[in-house]
Amino acid sequence: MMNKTKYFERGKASLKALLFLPLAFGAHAERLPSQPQISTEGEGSGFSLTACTRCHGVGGDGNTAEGIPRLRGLPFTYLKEQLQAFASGERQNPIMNSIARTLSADDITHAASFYTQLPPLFQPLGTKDESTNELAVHGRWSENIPPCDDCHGPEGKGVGENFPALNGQSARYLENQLQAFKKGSRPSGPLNLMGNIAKKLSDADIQTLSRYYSGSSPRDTGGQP
Amino acid sequence: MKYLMTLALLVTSLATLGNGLPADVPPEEWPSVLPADHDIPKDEFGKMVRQGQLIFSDTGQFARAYVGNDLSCRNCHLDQGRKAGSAPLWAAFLSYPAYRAKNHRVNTFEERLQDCFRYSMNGKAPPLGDPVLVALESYAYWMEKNAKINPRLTERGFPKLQKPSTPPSYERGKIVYANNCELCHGSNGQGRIANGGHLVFPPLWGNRSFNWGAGMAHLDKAAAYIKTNMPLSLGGSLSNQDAWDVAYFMEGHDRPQDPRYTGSVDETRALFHHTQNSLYGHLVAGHVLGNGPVSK
Repeated sequence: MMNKTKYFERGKASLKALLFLPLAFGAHAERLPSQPQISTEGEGSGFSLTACTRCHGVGGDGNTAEGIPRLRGLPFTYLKEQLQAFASGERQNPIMNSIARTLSADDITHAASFYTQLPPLFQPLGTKDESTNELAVHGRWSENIPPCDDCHGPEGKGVGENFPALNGQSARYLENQLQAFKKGSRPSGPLNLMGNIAKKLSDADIQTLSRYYSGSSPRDTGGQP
Repeated sequence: MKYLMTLALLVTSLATLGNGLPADVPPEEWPSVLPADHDIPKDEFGKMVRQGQLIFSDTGQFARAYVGNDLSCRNCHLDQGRKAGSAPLWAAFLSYPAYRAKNHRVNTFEERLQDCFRYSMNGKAPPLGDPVLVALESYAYWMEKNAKINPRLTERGFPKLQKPSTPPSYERGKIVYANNCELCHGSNGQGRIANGGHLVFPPLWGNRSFNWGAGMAHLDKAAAYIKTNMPLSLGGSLSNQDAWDVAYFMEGHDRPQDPRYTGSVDETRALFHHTQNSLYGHLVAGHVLGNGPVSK
Protein backbone atom coordinates (compact mmCIF):
# COMPACT_ATOMS: atom_id res chain seq x y z
CA MET A 1 0.00 0.00 0.00
CA MET A 2 1.14 3.50 -0.66
CA ASN A 3 1.91 5.93 2.07
CA LYS A 4 -1.09 8.20 1.95
CA THR A 5 0.22 10.77 4.42
CA LYS A 6 3.41 11.27 2.51
CA TYR A 7 1.60 11.85 -0.74
CA PHE A 8 -0.91 14.06 0.95
CA GLU A 9 1.88 16.31 2.23
CA ARG A 10 3.53 16.37 -1.13
CA GLY A 11 0.16 17.09 -2.72
CA LYS A 12 -0.27 20.12 -0.49
CA ALA A 13 3.17 21.42 -1.37
CA SER A 14 2.45 21.01 -5.07
CA LEU A 15 -0.89 22.70 -4.60
CA LYS A 16 0.79 25.84 -3.24
CA ALA A 17 3.19 25.93 -6.16
CA LEU A 18 0.33 25.47 -8.58
CA LEU A 19 -1.52 28.53 -7.37
CA PHE A 20 0.92 30.53 -9.46
CA LEU A 21 0.56 28.43 -12.55
CA PRO A 22 -2.28 30.30 -14.19
CA LEU A 23 0.05 33.33 -14.36
CA ALA A 24 2.88 31.29 -15.76
CA PHE A 25 0.87 29.44 -18.34
CA GLY A 26 -1.97 31.80 -19.03
CA ALA A 27 -0.33 33.00 -22.24
CA HIS A 28 -0.14 29.48 -23.57
CA ALA A 29 -3.50 28.28 -22.35
CA GLU A 30 -4.82 27.75 -25.85
CA ARG A 31 -1.96 25.40 -26.69
CA LEU A 32 -2.47 21.73 -26.13
CA PRO A 33 -0.06 20.36 -23.61
CA SER A 34 2.19 18.80 -26.20
CA GLN A 35 5.16 19.20 -23.87
CA PRO A 36 3.93 18.21 -20.47
CA GLN A 37 5.79 19.89 -17.64
CA ILE A 38 6.98 16.89 -15.73
CA SER A 39 10.02 17.95 -13.84
CA THR A 40 12.11 16.86 -10.96
CA GLU A 41 11.88 19.30 -8.14
CA GLY A 42 15.15 18.31 -6.59
CA GLU A 43 14.00 15.95 -3.89
CA GLY A 44 12.87 12.42 -4.62
CA SER A 45 10.85 11.97 -7.75
CA GLY A 46 9.06 15.28 -7.28
CA PHE A 47 6.60 15.72 -10.07
CA SER A 48 4.98 18.88 -11.33
CA LEU A 49 1.34 18.30 -12.05
CA THR A 50 1.11 21.04 -14.64
CA ALA A 51 0.34 18.60 -17.40
CA CYS A 52 -2.71 17.43 -15.45
CA THR A 53 -3.92 20.69 -13.95
CA ARG A 54 -3.96 22.62 -17.21
CA CYS A 55 -7.03 20.68 -18.25
CA HIS A 56 -8.31 19.05 -15.06
CA GLY A 57 -7.73 22.11 -12.88
CA VAL A 58 -5.75 22.55 -9.70
CA GLY A 59 -8.81 21.47 -7.74
CA GLY A 60 -9.38 18.51 -10.06
CA ASP A 61 -12.78 19.71 -11.23
CA GLY A 62 -12.26 19.14 -14.95
CA ASN A 63 -14.32 21.00 -17.49
CA THR A 64 -18.01 20.33 -17.99
CA ALA A 65 -18.40 21.83 -21.46
CA GLU A 66 -15.32 20.05 -22.81
CA GLY A 67 -16.21 16.77 -21.16
CA ILE A 68 -12.93 16.70 -19.24
CA PRO A 69 -13.51 14.56 -16.17
CA ARG A 70 -13.49 15.66 -12.57
CA LEU A 71 -10.66 13.77 -10.88
CA ARG A 72 -10.93 14.96 -7.28
CA GLY A 73 -11.55 12.18 -4.83
CA LEU A 74 -11.56 9.37 -7.40
CA PRO A 75 -10.05 6.09 -6.14
CA PHE A 76 -6.27 5.78 -6.28
CA THR A 77 -6.31 2.36 -7.95
CA TYR A 78 -8.79 3.50 -10.56
CA LEU A 79 -6.79 6.65 -11.43
CA LYS A 80 -3.56 4.69 -11.63
CA GLU A 81 -5.07 2.05 -13.88
CA GLN A 82 -6.51 4.67 -16.18
CA LEU A 83 -3.15 6.43 -16.55
CA GLN A 84 -1.53 3.07 -17.29
CA ALA A 85 -4.21 2.33 -19.88
CA PHE A 86 -3.68 5.74 -21.50
CA ALA A 87 0.06 5.04 -21.59
CA SER A 88 -0.42 1.65 -23.24
CA GLY A 89 -3.05 3.00 -25.64
CA GLU A 90 -5.76 0.64 -24.41
CA ARG A 91 -7.78 3.67 -23.40
CA GLN A 92 -7.89 5.95 -26.37
CA ASN A 93 -7.68 9.73 -26.15
CA PRO A 94 -5.05 11.56 -28.20
CA ILE A 95 -4.18 14.13 -25.53
CA MET A 96 -4.07 11.71 -22.64
CA ASN A 97 -2.20 9.09 -24.66
CA SER A 98 0.58 11.52 -25.51
CA ILE A 99 0.87 12.77 -21.92
CA ALA A 100 0.65 9.39 -20.23
CA ARG A 101 3.36 7.90 -22.44
CA THR A 102 5.87 10.33 -20.94
CA LEU A 103 5.06 9.44 -17.34
CA SER A 104 7.21 7.18 -15.20
CA ALA A 105 5.61 4.70 -12.82
CA ASP A 106 6.39 7.13 -10.00
CA ASP A 107 4.79 10.02 -11.88
CA ILE A 108 1.63 7.97 -12.31
CA THR A 109 1.56 7.13 -8.62
CA HIS A 110 2.15 10.76 -7.75
CA ALA A 111 -0.58 12.10 -10.03
CA ALA A 112 -3.10 9.49 -8.85
CA SER A 113 -2.20 10.20 -5.22
CA PHE A 114 -2.62 13.92 -5.70
CA TYR A 115 -6.13 13.72 -7.12
CA THR A 116 -7.37 10.95 -4.87
CA GLN A 117 -6.67 12.98 -1.71
CA LEU A 118 -8.73 15.96 -2.87
CA PRO A 119 -12.23 15.78 -1.37
CA PRO A 120 -14.85 14.56 -3.84
CA LEU A 121 -17.61 16.93 -4.88
CA PHE A 122 -21.05 15.46 -5.38
CA GLN A 123 -24.11 17.18 -6.73
CA PRO A 124 -27.79 16.62 -6.14
CA LEU A 125 -29.07 14.45 -8.95
CA GLY A 126 -31.38 16.45 -11.14
CA THR A 127 -34.56 14.46 -11.03
CA LYS A 128 -36.33 11.87 -8.97
CA ASP A 129 -38.55 11.06 -11.92
CA GLU A 130 -38.77 7.28 -12.05
CA SER A 131 -38.60 7.15 -15.83
CA THR A 132 -35.23 8.89 -15.94
CA ASN A 133 -33.49 7.10 -13.12
CA GLU A 134 -34.96 3.69 -13.89
CA LEU A 135 -31.73 2.12 -15.17
CA ALA A 136 -29.60 3.83 -12.56
CA VAL A 137 -31.69 2.68 -9.62
CA HIS A 138 -33.52 -0.43 -10.83
CA GLY A 139 -31.51 -1.68 -13.78
CA ARG A 140 -33.07 -3.79 -16.51
CA TRP A 141 -32.85 -7.30 -15.18
CA SER A 142 -34.63 -8.85 -18.14
CA GLU A 143 -31.34 -8.16 -19.95
CA ASN A 144 -29.18 -8.80 -16.90
CA ILE A 145 -28.36 -5.14 -16.52
CA PRO A 146 -28.06 -4.40 -12.81
CA PRO A 147 -28.76 -0.91 -11.48
CA CYS A 148 -25.66 1.30 -11.86
CA ASP A 149 -26.08 2.18 -8.18
CA ASP A 150 -25.64 -1.48 -7.19
CA CYS A 151 -21.92 -1.18 -7.92
CA HIS A 152 -21.26 2.57 -8.01
CA GLY A 153 -23.20 3.21 -4.81
CA PRO A 154 -26.37 5.14 -4.00
CA GLU A 155 -26.54 8.26 -6.21
CA GLY A 156 -23.41 7.03 -7.95
CA LYS A 157 -21.06 8.27 -5.24
CA GLY A 158 -18.53 5.49 -5.77
CA VAL A 159 -17.49 2.34 -3.91
CA GLY A 160 -13.97 1.30 -2.92
CA GLU A 161 -11.03 1.36 -5.29
CA ASN A 162 -12.64 -0.08 -8.40
CA PHE A 163 -16.04 1.56 -8.76
CA PRO A 164 -15.49 5.28 -9.35
CA ALA A 165 -18.07 7.92 -8.55
CA LEU A 166 -20.31 8.81 -11.47
CA ASN A 167 -21.93 11.63 -9.55
CA GLY A 168 -19.96 14.79 -10.19
CA GLN A 169 -19.01 14.05 -13.78
CA SER A 170 -20.43 15.96 -16.71
CA ALA A 171 -23.06 14.45 -18.99
CA ARG A 172 -20.69 14.80 -21.89
CA TYR A 173 -17.90 12.89 -20.18
CA LEU A 174 -20.21 10.11 -18.99
CA GLU A 175 -21.74 9.73 -22.42
CA ASN A 176 -18.32 9.57 -24.06
CA GLN A 177 -17.18 6.90 -21.61
CA LEU A 178 -20.25 4.70 -21.98
CA GLN A 179 -19.83 4.91 -25.74
CA ALA A 180 -16.12 4.11 -25.35
CA PHE A 181 -16.95 1.03 -23.26
CA LYS A 182 -19.43 0.02 -25.91
CA LYS A 183 -16.95 0.48 -28.77
CA GLY A 184 -14.04 -1.01 -26.85
CA SER A 185 -11.94 2.15 -26.99
CA ARG A 186 -11.30 1.93 -23.27
CA PRO A 187 -10.59 -1.19 -21.19
CA SER A 188 -13.79 -2.89 -20.18
CA GLY A 189 -12.93 -2.84 -16.48
CA PRO A 190 -12.59 -5.63 -13.92
CA LEU A 191 -14.30 -8.89 -14.98
CA ASN A 192 -15.25 -7.13 -18.21
CA LEU A 193 -18.23 -5.81 -16.25
CA MET A 194 -18.58 -2.44 -17.96
CA GLY A 195 -17.82 -3.67 -21.45
CA ASN A 196 -20.46 -6.31 -21.04
CA ILE A 197 -23.09 -3.92 -19.70
CA ALA A 198 -22.39 -1.01 -22.07
CA LYS A 199 -22.95 -3.23 -25.09
CA LYS A 200 -26.54 -3.73 -23.95
CA LEU A 201 -27.24 -0.01 -23.65
CA SER A 202 -28.91 1.93 -26.44
CA ASP A 203 -27.82 5.46 -27.33
CA ALA A 204 -30.97 6.71 -25.62
CA ASP A 205 -30.11 4.72 -22.46
CA ILE A 206 -26.66 6.24 -22.46
CA GLN A 207 -27.97 9.77 -22.82
CA THR A 208 -30.53 9.30 -20.08
CA LEU A 209 -27.98 7.84 -17.67
CA SER A 210 -25.40 10.48 -18.44
CA ARG A 211 -27.84 13.27 -17.77
CA TYR A 212 -29.09 11.62 -14.61
CA TYR A 213 -25.67 11.23 -12.98
CA SER A 214 -24.50 14.66 -14.12
CA GLY A 215 -27.44 16.22 -12.34
CA SER A 216 -28.87 17.64 -15.57
CA SER A 217 -32.61 17.62 -15.97
CA PRO A 218 -33.92 15.35 -18.71
CA ARG A 219 -34.77 18.33 -20.90
CA ASP A 220 -31.39 19.98 -20.50
CA THR A 221 -29.60 19.02 -23.67
CA GLY A 222 -26.81 21.55 -23.28
CA GLY A 223 -23.30 20.21 -23.60
CA GLN A 224 -24.24 17.14 -25.57
CA PRO A 225 -21.68 16.40 -28.26
CA MET B 1 -62.84 -20.13 -43.60
CA LYS B 2 -64.42 -17.04 -42.11
CA TYR B 3 -65.25 -19.07 -39.02
CA LEU B 4 -61.65 -20.22 -38.73
CA MET B 5 -60.33 -16.69 -39.00
CA THR B 6 -62.71 -15.47 -36.33
CA LEU B 7 -61.63 -18.33 -34.11
CA ALA B 8 -57.99 -17.53 -34.72
CA LEU B 9 -58.61 -13.88 -33.86
CA LEU B 10 -60.48 -14.86 -30.75
CA VAL B 11 -57.71 -17.20 -29.63
CA THR B 12 -55.12 -14.52 -30.34
CA SER B 13 -56.96 -11.85 -28.40
CA LEU B 14 -57.61 -14.20 -25.49
CA ALA B 15 -53.97 -15.18 -25.38
CA THR B 16 -52.99 -11.55 -25.62
CA LEU B 17 -55.25 -10.71 -22.73
CA GLY B 18 -53.60 -13.41 -20.69
CA ASN B 19 -49.97 -12.52 -21.08
CA GLY B 20 -49.61 -9.42 -23.20
CA LEU B 21 -47.84 -11.34 -25.97
CA PRO B 22 -48.85 -12.64 -29.41
CA ALA B 23 -50.19 -16.19 -29.32
CA ASP B 24 -47.51 -17.54 -31.62
CA VAL B 25 -44.88 -17.04 -28.95
CA PRO B 26 -44.61 -20.41 -27.19
CA PRO B 27 -45.29 -20.33 -23.44
CA GLU B 28 -41.73 -21.22 -22.49
CA GLU B 29 -40.58 -17.96 -24.06
CA TRP B 30 -43.05 -15.75 -22.28
CA PRO B 31 -41.24 -13.46 -19.96
CA SER B 32 -42.62 -12.78 -16.56
CA VAL B 33 -44.02 -9.28 -16.67
CA LEU B 34 -43.73 -7.82 -13.24
CA PRO B 35 -45.23 -4.57 -12.07
CA ALA B 36 -43.07 -1.47 -11.90
CA ASP B 37 -42.90 0.98 -9.04
CA HIS B 38 -45.12 3.49 -10.80
CA ASP B 39 -47.89 0.87 -10.79
CA ILE B 40 -48.14 1.03 -7.01
CA PRO B 41 -51.58 2.48 -6.24
CA LYS B 42 -51.77 5.87 -4.60
CA ASP B 43 -54.01 4.84 -1.72
CA GLU B 44 -53.80 3.33 1.76
CA PHE B 45 -52.78 -0.04 0.38
CA GLY B 46 -50.18 1.58 -1.86
CA LYS B 47 -48.66 3.24 1.20
CA MET B 48 -48.14 -0.17 2.82
CA VAL B 49 -46.65 -1.52 -0.39
CA ARG B 50 -44.20 1.41 -0.53
CA GLN B 51 -43.31 0.85 3.12
CA GLY B 52 -42.66 -2.83 2.37
CA GLN B 53 -40.46 -1.84 -0.51
CA LEU B 54 -38.45 0.52 1.71
CA ILE B 55 -37.96 -2.25 4.28
CA PHE B 56 -36.94 -4.62 1.49
CA SER B 57 -34.37 -2.14 0.14
CA ASP B 58 -32.84 -0.91 3.38
CA THR B 59 -33.85 -3.35 6.06
CA GLY B 60 -31.40 -2.09 8.66
CA GLN B 61 -32.91 1.36 8.48
CA PHE B 62 -36.62 0.60 8.14
CA ALA B 63 -36.85 -2.50 10.36
CA ARG B 64 -33.95 -1.72 12.66
CA ALA B 65 -35.37 -3.46 15.72
CA TYR B 66 -35.34 -6.83 13.98
CA VAL B 67 -32.02 -6.75 12.15
CA GLY B 68 -28.71 -7.94 13.57
CA ASN B 69 -26.35 -7.63 10.61
CA ASP B 70 -25.53 -5.43 7.62
CA LEU B 71 -27.77 -7.16 5.10
CA SER B 72 -30.97 -6.07 3.39
CA CYS B 73 -33.54 -8.29 1.68
CA ARG B 74 -32.54 -6.90 -1.70
CA ASN B 75 -28.93 -8.07 -1.33
CA CYS B 76 -29.97 -11.62 -2.28
CA HIS B 77 -33.46 -11.16 -3.72
CA LEU B 78 -32.38 -9.23 -6.80
CA ASP B 79 -34.36 -6.65 -8.71
CA GLN B 80 -36.18 -5.72 -5.49
CA GLY B 81 -37.52 -9.23 -5.13
CA ARG B 82 -38.59 -9.61 -8.75
CA LYS B 83 -35.80 -11.62 -10.37
CA ALA B 84 -36.47 -15.30 -11.05
CA GLY B 85 -33.61 -17.42 -9.76
CA SER B 86 -33.00 -15.24 -6.74
CA ALA B 87 -35.93 -16.50 -4.64
CA PRO B 88 -38.39 -13.91 -5.97
CA LEU B 89 -41.00 -12.52 -3.63
CA TRP B 90 -43.93 -13.18 -5.96
CA ALA B 91 -43.11 -16.87 -6.22
CA ALA B 92 -42.74 -17.14 -2.45
CA PHE B 93 -46.09 -15.43 -1.98
CA LEU B 94 -47.71 -17.91 -4.36
CA SER B 95 -46.15 -20.87 -2.54
CA TYR B 96 -47.34 -20.24 1.00
CA PRO B 97 -48.84 -21.60 3.18
CA ALA B 98 -46.42 -24.48 2.77
CA TYR B 99 -44.96 -27.29 4.82
CA ARG B 100 -41.35 -26.71 5.82
CA ALA B 101 -39.01 -29.42 7.02
CA LYS B 102 -37.15 -26.70 8.92
CA ASN B 103 -39.82 -26.56 11.63
CA HIS B 104 -41.92 -29.60 10.71
CA ARG B 105 -45.16 -27.76 10.12
CA VAL B 106 -47.18 -25.72 7.69
CA ASN B 107 -46.06 -22.10 7.71
CA THR B 108 -47.95 -19.03 6.60
CA PHE B 109 -46.18 -16.45 4.48
CA GLU B 110 -45.91 -14.21 7.54
CA GLU B 111 -44.26 -17.00 9.52
CA ARG B 112 -41.84 -17.54 6.66
CA LEU B 113 -40.95 -13.85 6.78
CA GLN B 114 -40.27 -14.17 10.51
CA ASP B 115 -37.58 -16.73 9.75
CA CYS B 116 -35.90 -14.38 7.27
CA PHE B 117 -35.33 -11.99 10.18
CA ARG B 118 -34.29 -14.73 12.60
CA TYR B 119 -31.71 -16.37 10.35
CA SER B 120 -30.81 -14.41 7.23
CA MET B 121 -30.94 -11.07 9.01
CA ASN B 122 -29.40 -12.57 12.18
CA GLY B 123 -31.98 -10.58 14.15
CA LYS B 124 -35.23 -11.43 15.84
CA ALA B 125 -38.62 -12.31 14.45
CA PRO B 126 -41.12 -9.45 14.35
CA PRO B 127 -44.32 -10.60 16.11
CA LEU B 128 -47.14 -11.73 13.83
CA GLY B 129 -49.14 -8.68 12.79
CA ASP B 130 -46.19 -6.34 13.31
CA PRO B 131 -46.24 -3.41 10.84
CA VAL B 132 -42.92 -4.64 9.39
CA LEU B 133 -44.46 -7.99 8.43
CA VAL B 134 -47.69 -6.39 7.24
CA ALA B 135 -45.73 -4.04 4.97
CA LEU B 136 -43.56 -6.80 3.51
CA GLU B 137 -46.57 -9.01 2.97
CA SER B 138 -48.34 -6.13 1.20
CA TYR B 139 -45.35 -5.63 -1.07
CA ALA B 140 -45.24 -9.34 -1.97
CA TYR B 141 -49.01 -9.52 -2.47
CA TRP B 142 -48.99 -6.45 -4.71
CA MET B 143 -46.17 -7.86 -6.80
CA GLU B 144 -47.79 -11.25 -7.23
CA LYS B 145 -51.30 -9.97 -7.95
CA ASN B 146 -50.08 -7.57 -10.64
CA ALA B 147 -47.62 -9.92 -12.31
CA LYS B 148 -48.06 -11.85 -15.51
CA ILE B 149 -45.90 -14.75 -14.66
CA ASN B 150 -44.20 -17.22 -16.95
CA PRO B 151 -45.50 -20.53 -15.62
CA ARG B 152 -42.05 -22.04 -16.03
CA LEU B 153 -40.61 -19.52 -13.63
CA THR B 154 -43.00 -19.95 -10.75
CA GLU B 155 -40.74 -22.16 -8.73
CA ARG B 156 -39.89 -20.52 -5.46
CA GLY B 157 -36.45 -20.34 -3.95
CA PHE B 158 -33.37 -21.02 -6.02
CA PRO B 159 -32.99 -23.28 -9.03
CA LYS B 160 -31.47 -26.70 -8.40
CA LEU B 161 -27.87 -27.13 -9.47
CA GLN B 162 -26.42 -30.44 -10.55
CA LYS B 163 -23.89 -31.97 -8.18
CA PRO B 164 -20.30 -31.21 -9.19
CA SER B 165 -18.23 -33.89 -10.87
CA THR B 166 -15.52 -33.52 -8.21
CA PRO B 167 -16.32 -32.92 -4.52
CA PRO B 168 -16.18 -29.19 -3.76
CA SER B 169 -12.81 -27.90 -2.58
CA TYR B 170 -11.91 -25.00 -0.29
CA GLU B 171 -8.60 -24.48 -2.06
CA ARG B 172 -10.10 -24.32 -5.54
CA GLY B 173 -12.91 -22.18 -4.20
CA LYS B 174 -10.40 -19.72 -2.82
CA ILE B 175 -9.04 -19.17 -6.32
CA VAL B 176 -12.51 -18.80 -7.84
CA TYR B 177 -13.28 -16.28 -5.10
CA ALA B 178 -10.14 -14.23 -5.72
CA ASN B 179 -10.83 -14.09 -9.45
CA ASN B 180 -14.56 -13.41 -9.41
CA CYS B 181 -15.88 -12.30 -6.04
CA GLU B 182 -13.25 -10.41 -4.12
CA LEU B 183 -13.61 -7.34 -6.34
CA CYS B 184 -16.97 -6.62 -4.73
CA HIS B 185 -17.19 -8.69 -1.54
CA GLY B 186 -13.65 -7.95 -0.36
CA SER B 187 -10.64 -10.10 0.48
CA ASN B 188 -12.17 -11.19 3.78
CA GLY B 189 -15.78 -11.50 2.64
CA GLN B 190 -16.60 -8.32 4.49
CA GLY B 191 -18.46 -6.59 1.65
CA ARG B 192 -17.99 -2.94 0.72
CA ILE B 193 -19.48 0.36 1.75
CA ALA B 194 -20.13 3.25 -0.64
CA ASN B 195 -18.88 6.80 -0.22
CA GLY B 196 -21.54 8.18 2.07
CA GLY B 197 -21.80 5.07 4.23
CA HIS B 198 -24.36 2.81 2.57
CA LEU B 199 -23.52 -0.87 2.36
CA VAL B 200 -23.42 -1.80 -1.32
CA PHE B 201 -21.83 -5.24 -1.50
CA PRO B 202 -23.05 -7.55 1.28
CA PRO B 203 -20.74 -9.37 3.71
CA LEU B 204 -20.67 -13.09 2.89
CA TRP B 205 -19.39 -14.39 6.21
CA GLY B 206 -18.26 -13.08 9.59
CA ASN B 207 -20.20 -11.22 12.27
CA ARG B 208 -22.14 -8.94 9.92
CA SER B 209 -23.50 -11.65 7.63
CA PHE B 210 -26.40 -14.15 7.83
CA ASN B 211 -26.22 -16.77 10.58
CA TRP B 212 -25.82 -20.54 10.43
CA GLY B 213 -29.57 -21.11 10.37
CA ALA B 214 -30.12 -19.24 7.08
CA GLY B 215 -30.97 -21.05 3.87
CA MET B 216 -27.96 -19.45 2.22
CA ALA B 217 -25.71 -21.26 4.74
CA HIS B 218 -26.40 -24.47 2.79
CA LEU B 219 -23.94 -25.48 0.09
CA ASP B 220 -26.56 -26.51 -2.47
CA LYS B 221 -28.53 -23.28 -2.12
CA ALA B 222 -25.45 -21.06 -2.17
CA ALA B 223 -23.99 -22.89 -5.19
CA ALA B 224 -27.26 -22.56 -7.11
CA TYR B 225 -27.61 -18.90 -6.19
CA ILE B 226 -24.03 -18.15 -7.21
CA LYS B 227 -24.30 -20.05 -10.47
CA THR B 228 -27.53 -18.24 -11.41
CA ASN B 229 -26.78 -14.73 -10.25
CA MET B 230 -23.09 -14.09 -9.70
CA PRO B 231 -21.01 -12.12 -10.50
CA LEU B 232 -23.73 -9.51 -10.72
CA SER B 233 -24.71 -9.09 -14.40
CA LEU B 234 -22.69 -12.19 -15.36
CA GLY B 235 -25.01 -14.88 -13.97
CA GLY B 236 -24.40 -18.30 -15.54
CA SER B 237 -20.79 -17.50 -16.42
CA LEU B 238 -19.20 -19.73 -13.74
CA SER B 239 -19.00 -23.48 -14.35
CA ASN B 240 -21.02 -25.73 -12.04
CA GLN B 241 -17.79 -26.90 -10.46
CA ASP B 242 -16.62 -23.33 -9.83
CA ALA B 243 -19.98 -22.46 -8.28
CA TRP B 244 -19.80 -25.43 -5.87
CA ASP B 245 -16.15 -24.78 -5.05
CA VAL B 246 -16.68 -21.12 -4.30
CA ALA B 247 -19.82 -21.90 -2.30
CA TYR B 248 -17.70 -24.32 -0.25
CA PHE B 249 -15.09 -21.60 0.27
CA MET B 250 -17.77 -19.16 1.42
CA GLU B 251 -19.44 -21.68 3.74
CA GLY B 252 -16.01 -22.73 4.98
CA HIS B 253 -15.84 -19.50 7.01
CA ASP B 254 -17.59 -18.95 10.29
CA ARG B 255 -20.61 -16.74 10.76
CA PRO B 256 -23.00 -15.83 13.58
CA GLN B 257 -24.27 -18.72 15.69
CA ASP B 258 -27.45 -20.58 14.82
CA PRO B 259 -30.16 -19.14 17.11
CA ARG B 260 -31.26 -22.74 17.79
CA TYR B 261 -27.84 -23.43 19.36
CA THR B 262 -28.21 -25.79 22.29
CA GLY B 263 -24.91 -25.01 23.96
CA SER B 264 -23.02 -27.69 22.02
CA VAL B 265 -21.88 -27.49 18.41
CA ASP B 266 -22.06 -31.29 18.07
CA GLU B 267 -25.59 -31.43 19.39
CA THR B 268 -26.72 -28.45 17.30
CA ARG B 269 -25.22 -30.10 14.24
CA ALA B 270 -27.00 -33.38 14.98
CA LEU B 271 -30.33 -31.62 15.51
CA PHE B 272 -30.34 -28.97 12.79
CA HIS B 273 -27.43 -29.50 10.41
CA HIS B 274 -27.56 -33.20 9.79
CA THR B 275 -27.02 -32.81 6.05
CA GLN B 276 -24.02 -32.85 3.78
CA ASN B 277 -25.09 -29.41 2.57
CA SER B 278 -24.13 -27.80 5.89
CA LEU B 279 -20.53 -27.38 7.01
CA TYR B 280 -21.63 -26.42 10.53
CA GLY B 281 -19.54 -28.37 13.04
CA HIS B 282 -17.03 -29.43 10.38
CA LEU B 283 -13.32 -28.76 10.55
CA VAL B 284 -12.51 -26.53 7.57
CA ALA B 285 -9.18 -24.74 7.03
CA GLY B 286 -8.14 -25.46 10.60
CA HIS B 287 -11.30 -24.16 12.28
CA VAL B 288 -14.33 -26.03 13.59
CA LEU B 289 -17.23 -24.08 12.14
CA GLY B 290 -19.99 -23.02 14.50
CA ASN B 291 -17.72 -21.64 17.20
CA GLY B 292 -18.02 -18.06 16.01
CA PRO B 293 -16.24 -16.01 13.38
CA VAL B 294 -12.48 -15.96 13.73
CA SER B 295 -11.95 -12.99 11.44
CA LYS B 296 -12.27 -9.63 13.21
